[in-house]
Parts: sequence; C-alpha cells; structure tokens
Amino acid sequence: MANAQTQFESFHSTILLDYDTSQVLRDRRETLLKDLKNNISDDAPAYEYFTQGSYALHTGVHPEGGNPDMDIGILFDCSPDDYPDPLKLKKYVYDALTREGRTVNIKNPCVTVTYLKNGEADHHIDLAVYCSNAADQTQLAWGRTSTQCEDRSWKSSEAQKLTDVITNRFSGDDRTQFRRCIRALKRWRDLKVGHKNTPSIGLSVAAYNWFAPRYDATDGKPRDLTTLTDFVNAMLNHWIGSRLYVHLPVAPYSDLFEGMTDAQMLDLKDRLEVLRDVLKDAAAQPDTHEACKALRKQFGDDFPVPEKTDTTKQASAGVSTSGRSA
Amino acid sequence: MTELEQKFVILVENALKNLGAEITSFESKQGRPSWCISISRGGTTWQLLLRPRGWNVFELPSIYWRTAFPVWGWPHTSAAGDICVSDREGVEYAPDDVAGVLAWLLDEALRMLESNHKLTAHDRNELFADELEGYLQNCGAIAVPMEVMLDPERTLYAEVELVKKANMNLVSPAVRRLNHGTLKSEKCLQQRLSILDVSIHQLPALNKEWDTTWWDLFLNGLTPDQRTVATFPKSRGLLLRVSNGYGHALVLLYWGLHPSRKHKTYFVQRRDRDYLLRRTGGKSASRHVVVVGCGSIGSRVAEQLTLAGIEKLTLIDSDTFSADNLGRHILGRQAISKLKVNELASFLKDRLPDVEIEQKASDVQTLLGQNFFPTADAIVLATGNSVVERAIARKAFEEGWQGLLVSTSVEAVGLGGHSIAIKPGTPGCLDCLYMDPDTQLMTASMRTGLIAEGQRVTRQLTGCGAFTPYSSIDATRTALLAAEHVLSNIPSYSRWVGDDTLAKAEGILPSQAYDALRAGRIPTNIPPSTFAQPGCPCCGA
Repeated sequence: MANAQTQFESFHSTILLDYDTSQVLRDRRETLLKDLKNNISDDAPAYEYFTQGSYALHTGVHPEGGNPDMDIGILFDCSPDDYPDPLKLKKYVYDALTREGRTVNIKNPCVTVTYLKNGEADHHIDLAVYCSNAADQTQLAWGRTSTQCEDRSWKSSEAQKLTDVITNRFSGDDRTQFRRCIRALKRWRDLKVGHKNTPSIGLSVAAYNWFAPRYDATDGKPRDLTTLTDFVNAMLNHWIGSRLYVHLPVAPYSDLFEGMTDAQMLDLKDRLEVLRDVLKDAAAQPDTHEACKALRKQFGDDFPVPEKTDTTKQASAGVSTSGRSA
Repeated sequence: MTELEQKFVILVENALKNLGAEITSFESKQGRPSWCISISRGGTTWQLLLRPRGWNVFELPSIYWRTAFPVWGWPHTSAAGDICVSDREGVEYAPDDVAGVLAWLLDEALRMLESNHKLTAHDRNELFADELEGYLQNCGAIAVPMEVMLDPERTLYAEVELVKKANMNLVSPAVRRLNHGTLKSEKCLQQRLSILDVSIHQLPALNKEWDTTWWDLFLNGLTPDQRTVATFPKSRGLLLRVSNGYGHALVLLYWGLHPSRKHKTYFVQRRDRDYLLRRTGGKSASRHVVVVGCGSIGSRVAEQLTLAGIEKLTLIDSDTFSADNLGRHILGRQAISKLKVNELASFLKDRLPDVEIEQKASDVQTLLGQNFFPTADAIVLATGNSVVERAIARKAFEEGWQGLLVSTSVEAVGLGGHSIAIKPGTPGCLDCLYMDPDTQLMTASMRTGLIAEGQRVTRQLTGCGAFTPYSSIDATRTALLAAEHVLSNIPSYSRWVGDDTLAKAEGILPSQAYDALRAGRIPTNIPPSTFAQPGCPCCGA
C-alpha cells in the first residue's frame, strides 16, 4: 500500500511560501512598516502591527501564476467611536505608504500595496486597519473612498484571536502535518477550483474543525495521504443540503463560504469527491510510482513522481548501527 | 510505662469496657501488653486474652481463647488458643482507630467461637483437618520440605541427617527432606517411610512430639489394614495423608532406627512444582520453549517462563558468563567463567523443581538443522543480533515451523525495548520491519528502532570491550513483554518506551518512532497485519 509520504513532504517543500523563506516579501514588509512609522500623520493615533492570514498561520503556498500576498494588521489605539468614519484611519495608512514606484489602493477590507514587475503585479501586501471597542473586540475598518459615508463601517473581526486559535489547535508533529495538509489542499484548490470563491481561511478553519493527524502505527512517521483522505471525507460528510458551512471560530462567527454560489458549492463538492477517490485509490495502489502519478493529476506538476521501483533487483540496503542488544 | 504506652492502655481499656468486656487482669511482658477479659454474648461467657503486638494496633492484635490446653480439633484456633480471625492479608483500617479495631476483632473472634460451638464434634473436626498443617506448625512441629509431588504408589524416603549434640557423643536424627528415591544431600541417609491414608477422626490430639502412649492410642483407632501399613517393620516413619477440603494434610511421624521416649512430629512443606504454581494462580503448561541467547533478556525470559509453568525449556548460548554481566544479568558471581546455559539451567531448576531443561552450549546457526526448532511451541530470539534472528525467522516461515517466534531486544540508555511475536503462516515478520513501505525495498535498519539512525551508541570503559549501555530494569521490562508473548501465544509486536534523560545526557537522538510512541500518537502494541508488507520476501504478505 503506497503512502507517498516522501513525495508529500517534497511537494510541501516546493509549494511552501513562508515568511522565513521569502526574502523579497520580508524585505518589502519591513520597508512598508518603516515607511508607515516614519511618514504617518502626527494626527494618527498610536498603533501596533501584527502578521495575519496565511503567513501568521504558516499555511502560505506559492500561488499558481504568481502575485503572492502578505497580510498585515494595523491596530490603532483608539475606539470606533473616536473615528465614526473608518476611512480616516485607512487614509493615514494610505498617505504614509504612497510613494513613487508603488501602487497603493484602498479596498473595502484593507489598504493594498501592489508591487509591479514589468508592468504586471508581482506580489502585494494587504494592510487591514483595526481598532478595539470597549469590549476589547477588534473592529475592522470597512469601506473605500468611493463608498458612501453611511456605508463605511467598523466590522467585528478578531484576526489576532483567530490566528491564536488556529495555530494553537495542534502542536509539535501534529501541527506540522496540519499545516502541510492545508497547504496541499490550498494548492489543489488553486488548480481545481480557483482561489477567489473558496477562500483559504475557509479551508484552514475546515481543517481546524475536522483535521485529525495520522501516523504510521508501526514506525510513527506521518501519513499525509491518510490524513488528507480522512479530512476530505470529513468535509464531504459535513455537507448540509447543497452547502458546506464553515463558521469562523471567533467573532463575527460568519460562514466563510457564504460568498460561494450554489453552483460553485456543487462544483467544489464534485471536485472534492474526485479528490477523495483519487486519494483512496492511491492508498490502495501497491506501487508508489503509480500512486504519485494519480496524485499529480490532483495536486499539479509540483507533486513529484518517483522512478518506478524494481523490487526484483537486488539493491544493497547498506549497513547501520542499531543500538539494540539483548 | 512511657506516656504513649499509658495512653494506649487507657484507649484499649476504655474500648474494652465500652464493648462490654470485663478486664480481669493486665500485664506487660517483653514489650507486649496483654489483657485477660471475659465477655458475654448469646448467653455464653467467653474467657479471652487480648495481646497487641506492641503499644499500638498497626498490626492486628492477637486474641486467644482461654480454655483447656492444648486446644485440638477447633477450626481457626491454635493449640495455644490463638483465634485466627484474619489471615492478616489484605486487611485495612485506620491505625488510630483502636476502638474500631478492637470492636471488629472481638466481634470476629466471638462469631468464630460461637459458630464452632454450634457444630457437632465431627463437623468441627472435618473443618479442623483443613488447617492441620498450620496447627502443627504453630505447635512447633518441624517443617520438612518435599520438592516432588507425593506419589502414594512410589516408595517414600526420608533424608535423615544424624546431628551430633553439642558437647555430647550422642547423635540425634533430623529429617531434612522427603523424596521418592533421589537423595540430594551427601550428609544424609535414605530411610524408608510408609504412607497411610487416615481421617482426622482417627487422629488423637497431636503435638510437636508424640510418645508410645499416643502411638498406642493412634493404632487403636486404625483398621487392621491400616495398622499393617503403620507398623511395617522396614519403615522408619509414617507419612499420614489426612484427607481434607484441599486434598490432604501431610504429617510425618518419624521414629528412626533407635527407640526413643519421644518422637518428633513433622509437617510437610510442599515445594513441588504443581503446588508452587498453584500458589501463583498459574498452572503447568506442557509446552516446549527454545530460548536462543541467554543474556540479560534471554535469561529473564527463561526465568519467567519457568515460574509461569512452562514444562520444557531448551537454552542455547555458546557464551561463558563474564563478570561484566553482573550488573544486569540474573546470574551471580558463582557463574563467572562458566557456560551461561549450564549456570542458568541450575538456577532455574533451583527456582522451580521438575522443570525440564535442555542445555545447548553452541552457536545457534550450527543447531538450526535440529528437529526441535520446527516442533517447539515457541522460540525466543534474544541474541542481540538482528541479522541472525531474521535469518532464523526466514527459515521458520519457509519451512512452516509450528511455534511462535519472539524476537526481543532492548534499546540503549533506557529508551525502550521490543518484543516481536510472529508466526509462520501469518503475514507480518521481522523482514517486514526492514522494508520501506513506499518503495518495498529492504532497509539496513529496523524502521521501528527507537534511536535515530547513524549514531554510535556503544560505549567503552576499558578501551577494549564495547557494550551497549542499558540497565537491569530495561532488560527486565523487555523480558516481561517477551515472556507474555510466549504465554499468550498470540502474534503481536509490543514495545515499551522509557524517558530520554540519559539519552540526552549521552547526546543520543531518539527516532521518530520513539517520539510518536512517547507522545502516545501510535500504540505500543500492534498486530502483525499492521506492519506486514505486501512485497516481503519472507512472509509474502
């Protein structure tokens, strides 16, 4: 029975996009934060910043087609009552960061800084603006310049708490496998479903709910193929009617897939069923080469396919020291 | 009396009074207080003696029935009147609750006396027979061991040592052991004994000694046939089999060669295999187990299997015992420079008589052709050489040996141990643990090893003689797993994992398997089907 664990780990190393491994994003983030510190208006309240999204959760993947993003939270030391128009705080950020060679836009949930390369978006950094209400609940500044004043608002959004909740769900080897499987599923989503309508955070929270680490009962090595199969099965088992509901575990507890149409939901379900079947078939496949060929069709060309093993050939297993005695 | 002793006396006397007992006297002898009391219950007044073991009730006090001595024929009551209200095993109470303990003790003692008094003398005697050996022991009768099960059809002998009395030219005979023909001590003479079945009702009150008056009384109570056996001229003593609820009480009346005014009474201390096994709750198992490798683990496996009742063991090891082994082997100094198999066999026979042990002071590979391997009920592989053990396992699978194979080994520095029980014909073998599940290719190291690959773990203390550091406890824990596998006869892989304190101190890195086991992510016991590999060249899983 194939496990393809070596291949899953190799695949993970290839698709992994992490703060520690992306020097360019790390440098640009530092530059942005430095600019914010140096250029922000004296009228703006004090702030602190934090990493959020996939970087904070350690679930980032190199997006297919480039333009990776990074999410930063800017938490101002004020209350929503101090700034009934949340755009005012977003403009402080916008003004501090705007300079030649950068494209800065105010979007509904954030201020986006896009870096271009040869006229094309190379990558971008989203800065979400927050403050805390009297109940110490973080509120997101929502709205853009074109938004009518009455539609601009503060929305409950506990990004920091969400990061804590998800990162503390598992520890040690369980957490490593948790992150590896989310990344694999995100890459599958990018290839098979498309990024826009199946948000990454929805997949991460689904994993928070239903992922269970799996290890080889004999040697204790992780078994990503088994855990992914179980996880995909769990997602399918939680379909209610025509929809999968994945609610945020923090305020505002909204359904993370609410933006998906029923047609998109059906498409997601169909594709998850195909994925589940492929994972199951791969596990039953005695030849790892054949199993990986099938898995590559789901996870893309970054998923390695090993050479076909010739078990009939006598290969030297070498000599090792065991440390066992009697 | 000290203040504490006075306080205890007050506590006891208050408690006795509250229980309705009348204290007739008190005395303190040899650091033990005692109270004579009388207490009425159910229309009878009982004269008792309460005798704590010290000035507290940390141990249950003794309670005696003060009546005509010696007491004979009363269940749970010694010749001196000591009432056995409890066998003192498994009794629990608050040590400060003197009043509570005395209330319970008196109640139990009275309940027993009353219950015995309600019985007919015949029924009381029947119950008394169950405790005859204990009664005689309390009287001061001498224990004589018997290491084989008594067979009434075989001739019984007493091993008699003639003991010279100090400063006198007189010798007196002492029975050292009973046997059915095998004299153990060179200092002893073999003297023939008769065996006689009697009922407790035929036995006059017996004590640690008996004389001609007692003997005549005894003979009078026998049938003519019994009398013939009892007076058989060639016999130097008579072993009485007194039937009781547990079979028989065994009492030896020994008179020897020379007439004497008084003769000693012996009670038989059973040391036969069946009796000792029954004491463990186990029973004899007619199984043949081969133990390959008599090192720290193999020797302990052999010991546990012997004590568990395995009837036949074959021990294989060509090594001699070295002083370096003393720290973790079950053998001691007397075994140094001697063959391990011989020394271990002696040790085991001493632990449990009648176990059949075969010693093979040879390399296992030279013995593989012998026919006891395929027919053994179990083969324990405790060689510390996984290559040899895998080769044996392959041969076993290929030839379809009938028994369980148990490969057992201990990891260095207390990280853990393994017992892998496999059975020819059942998928899952030693080679399966040396296969990469993904590639189905053989690997050099066992994938369940508890130490990360590529580390040197052997140590030197003298510059010559590498050894793997592990303790006696590590060996014992591992051996227990292997012994349990043999006894259960079920294929399964069991491992234990210890803490890594010593490993850290020694700079030894545990493996992923160790981490997973230690964290409880994977089970310590798995069936062979869990690790069986489809492409295994040995078990063809």
